Amino acid sequence: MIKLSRFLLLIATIMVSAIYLPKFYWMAFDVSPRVPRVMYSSLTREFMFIKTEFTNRIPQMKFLDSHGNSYTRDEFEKKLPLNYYRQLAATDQMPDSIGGVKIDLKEVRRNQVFIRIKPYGLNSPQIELFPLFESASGRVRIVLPEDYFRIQDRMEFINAYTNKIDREKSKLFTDSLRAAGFQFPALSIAGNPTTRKPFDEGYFVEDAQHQLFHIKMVKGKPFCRNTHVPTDLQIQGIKVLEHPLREFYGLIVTEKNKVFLLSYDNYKLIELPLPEYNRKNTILYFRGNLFYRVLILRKPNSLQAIVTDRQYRVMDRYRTSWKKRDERLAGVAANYIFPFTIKLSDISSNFINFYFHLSKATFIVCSIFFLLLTVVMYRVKKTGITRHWLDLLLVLVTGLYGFIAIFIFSRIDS
Amino acid sequence: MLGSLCFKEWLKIRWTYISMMVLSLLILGYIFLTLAHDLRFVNAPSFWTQVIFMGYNFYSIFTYFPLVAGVALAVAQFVPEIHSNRLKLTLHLPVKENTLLFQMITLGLFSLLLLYVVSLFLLLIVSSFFFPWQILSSIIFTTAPWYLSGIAAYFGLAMIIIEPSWIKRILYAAIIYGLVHCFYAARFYNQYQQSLPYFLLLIFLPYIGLFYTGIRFRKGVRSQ
Repeated sequence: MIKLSRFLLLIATIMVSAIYLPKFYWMAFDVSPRVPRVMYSSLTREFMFIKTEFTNRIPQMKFLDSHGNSYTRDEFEKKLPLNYYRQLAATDQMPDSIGGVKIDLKEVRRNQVFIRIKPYGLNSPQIELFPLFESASGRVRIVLPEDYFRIQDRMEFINAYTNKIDREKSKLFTDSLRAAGFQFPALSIAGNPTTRKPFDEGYFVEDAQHQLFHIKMVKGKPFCRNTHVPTDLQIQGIKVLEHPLREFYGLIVTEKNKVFLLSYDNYKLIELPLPEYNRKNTILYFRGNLFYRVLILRKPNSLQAIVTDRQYRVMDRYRTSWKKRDERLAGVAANYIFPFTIKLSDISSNFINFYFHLSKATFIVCSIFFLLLTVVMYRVKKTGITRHWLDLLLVLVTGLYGFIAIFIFSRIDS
Repeated sequence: MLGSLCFKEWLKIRWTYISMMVLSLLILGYIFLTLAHDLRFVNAPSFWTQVIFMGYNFYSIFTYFPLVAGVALAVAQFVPEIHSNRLKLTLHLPVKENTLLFQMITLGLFSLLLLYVVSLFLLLIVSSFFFPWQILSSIIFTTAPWYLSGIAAYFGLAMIIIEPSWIKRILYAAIIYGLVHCFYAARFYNQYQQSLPYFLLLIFLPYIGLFYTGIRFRKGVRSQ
């Protein structure tokens, strides 16, 4: 019993050390990578960059093109009229036409698209209650309804003022869903539950048989339609964005790391050319303007930009990478000091868990050092070493952490 | 024997325990009042949006209550024992020493659990006036790590108090603090939903660990 008791305390100490010591270490030694901002010029058809350089710790922005030529901010912005149209219009520098196309500021604005998908956004806690907006109210502003819906064995609306189910409305929508072939319960519900959007497209709901349904409310009546998106898609997340272009409802990310646009053309899927996308570690930026789409994949140690035309055919690519944390001096040292690291959070998820990360084999050097130190310590104290084989094994496997643990919870010799 | 032990423990903790009960009722009363007030002033659908999509936590005042209760109970129950080495007398009773220590801590655990269950139950009752089950279940998942931290702190502090050496006490305190801190990493609701079983296991490490400092106490180890 006494052995078990001490052993569990050792485990507790090793765990706590493996969480906090690397955390403190990286708080002291981590540096943020200098990632350039990447844009694509519609005038010169090349990538343009903003890089931050430090002189005496003061950051300074450098404006560069892909040949390394440096520009002033004004020159730079003039080369990127679709990125800086507001600034250029305000100073009367906006060109009249680009590539033979006459420029209308309203059209430029209407064609600006920005969507971001973060890895942890795809794996995040969610209370399964959503407001169903009236999508054809005839009014300019979208109004938050007084009830919220959930879809379990039926679709139910709960009034927020009374906390009671609206039976009539619930029956209306449940019947309509059944008629459209919906199989209860819903596996996932995705929408854009905000009143700050130009119009409402409702929700995309995956039913029990992985069919994707489009559900919205039109003049108080249910609109339920099977999108007939393939049921073997293994949808991991849907980002809905109502955009005045009405070109697509949003982005779908699948289990197999594919990204699709869900188009207004009868819910046809358009696959984005992103072979290197990994939903667990990549932040995806989708930027669009009058002429191009710029897709940026930001990974822990690389950045990739892909330019496509409006039909999503690849036109140009750019890629840059920087040293991994493990490759820098602090990282190499960390791989000696810490045999493993436990983190409570991870970029792949918004859930707290024990995320275990094993170091490179170099940790064994430090482990052996601490092992020898332990042997010396036990010799000095004249406690037998062979009887303490478990302590020694623990120090060998967990290095620094194990040494701290056996130091704090020293043996009691009976 | 167990009956008299219960009585002895109750004598030590009664005022602390009753204060904690009263404190939990006051906190719940406050949550009820603010909820009722806010729902009158902010309209209910917007309030729901804040709770569901922005993670507004209307019971955040409750965050550290379980921790405070665990710490208070451990102090009330174990500080009198080490005062003038009374625990030594207790441990001389004709019951197996370990059994007695475990009975003490298990009694403490159950009284703490009772306090927690009552407070969670009341929080759910209060919330059920205003919110459906989906939000109530998020309350359970969100408060669960707070309750577990209270239990971990109770076990950990009991272990620290019984430890005879001051230097060791400080070292243990660092470990227990790190352990308890793990339960407060959430910034949004339900973030511990997937890992609660592991965190449940985590709190039993200092529970069994109490035995270690118990032995050190009995032996009167005063190293360093």
